[in-house]
Amino acid sequence: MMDLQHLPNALPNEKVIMFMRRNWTTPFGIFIFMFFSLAIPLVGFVIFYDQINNWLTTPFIGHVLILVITAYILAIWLFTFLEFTDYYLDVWIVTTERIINIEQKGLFTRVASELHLSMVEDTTSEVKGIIHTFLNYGNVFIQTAGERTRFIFKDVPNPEMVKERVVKLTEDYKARSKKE
Amino acid sequence: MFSLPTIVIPIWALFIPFGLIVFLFLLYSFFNIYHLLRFATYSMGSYLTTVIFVGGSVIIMAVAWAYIVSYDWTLAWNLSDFLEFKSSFL
Repeated sequence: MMDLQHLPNALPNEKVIMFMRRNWTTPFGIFIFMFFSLAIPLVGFVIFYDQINNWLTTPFIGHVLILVITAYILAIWLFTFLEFTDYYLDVWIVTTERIINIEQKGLFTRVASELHLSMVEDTTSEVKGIIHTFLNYGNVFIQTAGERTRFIFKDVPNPEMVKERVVKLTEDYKARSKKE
Repeated sequence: MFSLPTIVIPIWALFIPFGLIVFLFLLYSFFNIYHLLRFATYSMGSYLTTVIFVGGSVIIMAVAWAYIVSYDWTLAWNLSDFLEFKSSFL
């Protein structure tokens, strides 16, 4: 496990300023999906109770049905937690020295990259859409000097505030470097 | 007159594909928990998620097992019975 107090390759006097994950709407959407995936068949069972109960007591059909229902519930349960893990392991860390981007892509691909604050050229926040505006979350783009690739903090809460803090940290870092 | 050979399939044979599904569930669950405990930042969240996931999985499997054992899996399914049923149905 990664300890925020002891980051890998930590520099002297480096402090964690921001630790971000996607907004709560992402895990909420995952659990809503799980809820409906389980609730819809349950409602069907209640509506057609007599028919389904008849099938469940019929040899062979009942045997198949009980195994299919079990497999379906296990699949929904597993899918929910795979998606949650995917969400949970995507993190962005901003320190006094650098920005760390860790993204889990599926179960077997993991991308970790870092960007020194001296490389930050431009920071942009984006809040797009009614829900994003209402709940105040969106993307923050970090443009690096000399490169076209950007760091993207996806669907983070308070993107405007995050942008301001990154800009402030970058200015502070550059001022500190000039003094030294 | 063409006659079909008697083909009898034991119902427990359904456990073969079901067992494969359960095996895949356990395999992916293992990787899921491994990722949560290995790569997450140090916090209670990953432990809590693991406990909820494992607890939920145990409850689902225990309830499913209670239902599964209530069925008679020694029965056999005769394919010709099924075909007769289908032809009479038509």
